[in-house]
Formats: sequence, structure tokens, C-alpha cells
Amino acid sequence: MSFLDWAFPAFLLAFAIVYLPLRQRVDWRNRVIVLFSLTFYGWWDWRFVALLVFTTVLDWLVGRAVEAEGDPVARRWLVTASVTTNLAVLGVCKYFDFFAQSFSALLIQIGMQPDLPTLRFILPLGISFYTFHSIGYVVDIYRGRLKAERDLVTYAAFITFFPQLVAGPIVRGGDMLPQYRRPVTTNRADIVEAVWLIAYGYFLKVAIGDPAGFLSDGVSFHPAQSSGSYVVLGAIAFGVQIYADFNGYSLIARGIGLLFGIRLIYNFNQPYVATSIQDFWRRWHISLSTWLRDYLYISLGGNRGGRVRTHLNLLVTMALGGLWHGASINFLIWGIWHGLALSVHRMWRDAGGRLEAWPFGPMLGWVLTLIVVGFGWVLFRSTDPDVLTAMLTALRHWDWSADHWRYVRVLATLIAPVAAIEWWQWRRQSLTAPLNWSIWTRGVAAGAMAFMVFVMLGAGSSGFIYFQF
Amino acid sequence: MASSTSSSDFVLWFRDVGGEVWRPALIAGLLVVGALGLYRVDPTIPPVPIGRGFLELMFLSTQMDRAAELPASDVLIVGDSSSLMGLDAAALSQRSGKNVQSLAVMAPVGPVGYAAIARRYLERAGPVRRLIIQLSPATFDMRDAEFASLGFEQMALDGQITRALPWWEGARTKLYATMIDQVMPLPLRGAYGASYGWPADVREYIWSGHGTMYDPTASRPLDFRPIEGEYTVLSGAMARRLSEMGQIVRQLPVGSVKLLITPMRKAPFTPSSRMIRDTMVAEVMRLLGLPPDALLDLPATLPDELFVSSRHLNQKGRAMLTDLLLAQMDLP
Repeated sequence: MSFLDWAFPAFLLAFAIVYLPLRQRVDWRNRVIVLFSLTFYGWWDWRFVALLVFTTVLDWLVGRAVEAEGDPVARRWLVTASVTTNLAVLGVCKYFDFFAQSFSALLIQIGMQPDLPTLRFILPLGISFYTFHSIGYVVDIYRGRLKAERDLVTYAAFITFFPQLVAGPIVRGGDMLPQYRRPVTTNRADIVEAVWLIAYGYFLKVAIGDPAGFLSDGVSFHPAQSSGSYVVLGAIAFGVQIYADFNGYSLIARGIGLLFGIRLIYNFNQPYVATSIQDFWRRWHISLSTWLRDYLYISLGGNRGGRVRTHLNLLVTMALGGLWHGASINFLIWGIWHGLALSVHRMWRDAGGRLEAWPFGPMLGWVLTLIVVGFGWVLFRSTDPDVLTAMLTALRHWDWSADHWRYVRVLATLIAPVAAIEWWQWRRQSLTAPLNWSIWTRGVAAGAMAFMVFVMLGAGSSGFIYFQF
Repeated sequence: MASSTSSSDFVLWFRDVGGEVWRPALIAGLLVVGALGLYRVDPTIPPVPIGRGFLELMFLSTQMDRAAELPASDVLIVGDSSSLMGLDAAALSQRSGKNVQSLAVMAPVGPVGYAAIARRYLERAGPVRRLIIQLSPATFDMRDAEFASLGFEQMALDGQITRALPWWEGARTKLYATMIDQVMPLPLRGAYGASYGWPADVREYIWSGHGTMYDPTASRPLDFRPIEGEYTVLSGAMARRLSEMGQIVRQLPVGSVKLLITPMRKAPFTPSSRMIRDTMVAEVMRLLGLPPDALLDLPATLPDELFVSSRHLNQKGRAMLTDLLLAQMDLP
């Protein structure tokens, strides 16, 4: 099931009716969460519920075993086994065919005729997300930062809570488990924020992200593209699409969580105002970037192994972060691109470079960041090698016509309302700034957004982009 | 606000949510009512790229507009999408020296719909020397429900695009067409967006193409259903429509009528396919009331690599079919 399914409002209402009377009774409340979350997940494909249950139970058991085990070597082995199992499941489901086909291509290049099998797995929905939830949980116990959850149902609620299950945010045990261990409360402020987030989230996805997708998917990203102008416009359009789509989803998830007393994090913090690539990654898909920092970059040694090792760790982390998005070479290249950008930025900072000290430094930093990120979006979106080749080749040819102006007009119309809200948030230095509007201002804005969702749903909505990761 | 463990907590929650939701719901509701009012006042909706079948609707509306505006021509082509996307009428015009125009649409419009569009054009613009009816055998088994599903046949018969939509669909489509599309015209999606761009560009292409266009979709895995599956059934629904079309066509001011049966893919054609095809085509000729020499002598099949789908030729195939038809354009 997705937030855009027609059945979802009925599902949410059913959940509210069952959950709310029980929300002060921790044990029953968590059972309801697990039951409804598994139903939500199984709505897509019931066959993969078993896999979700398996990994949930496994990591709960491992977590308890790691905490109980006194021998450091045995603890390390347990964690390694858990992480390996999780990554193996993820690897087989998501990456086996990619590596098999890549290896085949390599063998063909050297004159061989391989006949490697492919598995053609259906990618289990949300596997990239719940796998990371589990790995983070086990590693946190190992590092002594978290106490293992004794109750399986409580742990399962943490892993499977349906707003965050299929597309994040990637949650941490330290943030979430205390919420599942105590009775929840919701107050009027939470409800106000929840309603706003849900309205704004749907607006972003349906009225901004999907139409931006018409531009990027239809006009820009295709194998016959020959206009450099359309490549640049396509990078902007896709940047709008993926931000609106994913931030929209994350805001809806947080809003739904708040309605029922569960606080998920904000996954985005105005990433397109970033004045450096490092700043961008503090604002974009925050739950993933911090996860990669804490469980991959630091595990590789972080910045503790000297300058060369630090840059290598950065590159590897970002490359794997790119690959996390999908089993396709373009995601790997995208990750490496960002790794290189972060590396260059770090070198610049280490050499004493401070753009913010220059005249118009922050503005220059902002423009440079947008260029780097925008080029990255061209790599990210070009999942087909022919498309990628066409897009890069087209950058040599520049033209401009009435069609380009039409494209710009549509793009500007889509960006305007989001920019207005984000400017307000930036001025107030708070993502919740719209909550300080008067009740009627907020009501009119949310109502207009809901109406736009109603209208634009007729144009047809594509699925959430991050469902495919 | 403190929460209690009693059912009043449940009620308080709904009260709080209701208290926050009613204003946006009221605003959204008023806007929906306004949109509905707009729709009720004027239910005609210009074709916009939203909703089910909007692409086909765009083709149909463009051809209906052309039927209302085109000046007189020498040759008129009508038929389904195998004609709309399988011929290059502009090239036929240029190379034959005759004014060739197409008002071909797509299969759900149906033979009676094709004839109605042609009649509207001919009654206004004047007679043509030749009428070419192009049909794909893949449409011979269509049922009444398929002609009714999106209402295209009725639109062609009525001469106007009025979609019978549920009120919410009509309201938002109307609003989209009158406001959103004016401010933020969205391009078409997928291959149509990549090849043509915006709906206006498709319309312009059809106009400049003398009523024809190409199918921009990439070659899809072609279904390998044996060809007999597409020939063995001439449905009652199709037979009735062909018969009625024949009656209409006999009243039209045309010099001669020819029938072009769109070639099918070669690979699925089995040895018995030819016999089945010929039998089917003879029946179609009979229903249309056409003499044997009205059938244009074109191959029953073309190589698979000339097709983008089971029904539509790709650009290379389109050029080849155009060449083949040109050779048959022997007008006095």
C-alpha cells in the first residue's frame, strides 16, 4: 500500500479507530501497530511479509544475544553475522542481477561467452530501509549506545511502523524505542503540525513533484535528447521532482506519526539553500546521510587514518550510498560524484579556503553547490546508459526556442509556491514556521493545497520515487 | 492538553483533529463546489493531457477540428490508428501531386465514427475524388463495450467532444483545462513527451502532416500471438458497424472508394493465415458494399522490424507503407 492508494484513508481510519483507545496500553498498542503495519506492507505483496518478519525476529534475537554476551570476540561475531545476513538478503534481492550482468559484460569484453544465471527477483518493498533500521539497531547495542529491546512486539513496532516502513526516514533505536516503550500522548500542537505536514506533503508530491516529472521524464531524459538546454532544464526539473516527491513522502510520514504520538525526524532541511556540498548533505535525506556517517564512514575509520585514508573513506561511503539507491551503474557514478565533491570541499577547507569570507561568498557557494548537485541529478536520473550518453553528449549543443520558454514557465510555476514556503521557513530559521501563521491563514493554505491535490490527481500520479530503492 | 486513559481521550483526539481539519476541508470543499459549478455551467472540456484516454481524445479532437476547417482535397483517408500512425499523408501529397488529407483516428471511434467524421468534412468542403478506408485486422474482433468505454464513437457521431464524466472527474478536468493548463501547460508523458513535447505540438504535427503522425513509442516486445488470433473473429459489433459505414459511404460525394487493409507482422503469419485473412477481408468488403477491385493490392504482411507494436508501424515501416500506397494512387 502507498499513501496514494485509494484504500489508504480507509486504512488510516481503521487504524485510528483500533489504535486510539489502546494507545495508553503499551503492549496492545504495539500489537496494533505491528498488525496494521504488516497489513500495510502485505497489501503490496503478501509473499514478502515473511522476509520482513524473519529479519525482524533475527535481529531482535541477535540484539539480545549481543547484549548478553560478555566475550568481545563473540559479540563481534554476532554483530558481523547479523550485518552480513542483512546485507546478504539486501544484496541478493537487489544487487545479484546487477553484478551478474556487469560481470558478464566484463567477461564478454575479454572475449569470453559467459552464461551466468540471473535471479530476476522482485525487489521487496522497503528492504533498503528496514535493513538499515536493523543494522543500526544491532550496531548501537554492540557499541553500548543502546539497550536491547526485551519485548519482540515492541521491537517489531519500531521496525515496521507503517509510515516509515517502505521509504523511511531511516530510524534509530535510540530515538524510537523509548516512544514504543511508554504510553503516547498527542497534544493540540502535534495535531496542528501533523495536519499541516500531511497537507503540505501531499501537495509537494502530487501538485509539484509529479508535474515536474512530466517535464523531466517526458521532455528531457530520453535517448534521443540532443539539446543541452533541455539537459540543464531537466536537471532542475528532476531536482524539483525528487525533492518534492521524497520530502513530500517524509512529511506525510512524520505527520501520520505525530497524529498517533510517534515522532519521526524531519528528513530534509531545505537542501537547496545549502552553500556547500557538505552543507547539502546535512540537509538532504538526513536519515540516510547520518546513517552512512555513523555506521559506514566511522566504521571504515572516518577521519582517523590520515588525510588519504579519510578521503578514501569518504569516497567509499558515498559510492556505497549511491549504490544503495539502486542496482545500476549510474547510481554508483552519482555516489562517486558526490564523494569527489565532498573530498574536494574537504581539501579546500583543510587548505584554509573559506568561501564565506569572500564578497558574495555564500552566494557563490550556493550557485556552485546547485551546479554540482544538478549535474549529479543528471547522473542519478539517467538509469539507462543510452540516456546517460545522450544527456552528456547533448551538453555540447545549445539551442533555445519557444518550447524551452514553455518549459521554464512550467518549472517556475512549480517552484514558486515551494520557494515561497521555504523562504518563509528560512527567514524564520524553522521548518515549522508555517505553524505560527494564524489559524485561518494556515487553514486557507492547507485547503488550497488539498484542492490542488484533488485537481492534479486527475493528471495521474506516479508512485513515490523512493519506493524503488 | 493532558491525555486520559478513558474513551474520552479517543473523543478528544477526534475533536482536536476535527478542530484543525475543518478549516482546510471547508476551503477545499468550497473550491470543489466552485469547480463543480463551473463544470455545470459549461460541461465542454478542451482536451487536456489528464484523465483516461486523453491522448486518444487529443487525436480525435484534432481530426474533428480539421474536418470542420480543412478546405477541399483530392484524396481523403479515414480509418483507425494503424492509418493515423502508419501513413505519411503529407509525403503522399507531395509525391503524388494530389492533395491527400487524412482524418484517421483510432479504433474505438469505430467505422461508423470514421464515416461520420468524413461526412461532416465532405458536406462542408465538397467532394473528393477518392476515399480510402484503412482498417487493421487487429480491430475486427472489437466488441460493443470497447466502442462505448471512453465514448469516442459517440463523440464522433455527435460532432463534439463532450465526455460523460463523473462529477468530480468533470469538475477537476474542467478546472485543469481552464486554469492549470493555461498557466502551467504540462508536456505529454513518456515517449510522446520526448518526441512531440506538448499536446499543442502533437496537434501541430498532425495538421502539418495532413492528418497523420508517427508512433513515437520504442519497439516493445511484440506479442507472438498467432496471427489467426487476430483474423478468426469478425465480431458482430464490428460487422454491424461496417455495414452501417457502407451505407453512409454510399451517400458520400466521393469519386471512388478504396479499402486498404493494414499489413500485419510477418513472423506470426502461419500457412493458414493467408486463407483466413482473405476470407475475413472478403467479408469486410461485402459488409462495406465494395466491389472486389476496391481492395488496394498491398502485402498482407511486412517484416517484424518495421513494427513498433502489433498494430503500429515504426517510422521506417510508415515510410514503406506510404511508398506502397503511392504506387496505388492512380487517380484519373
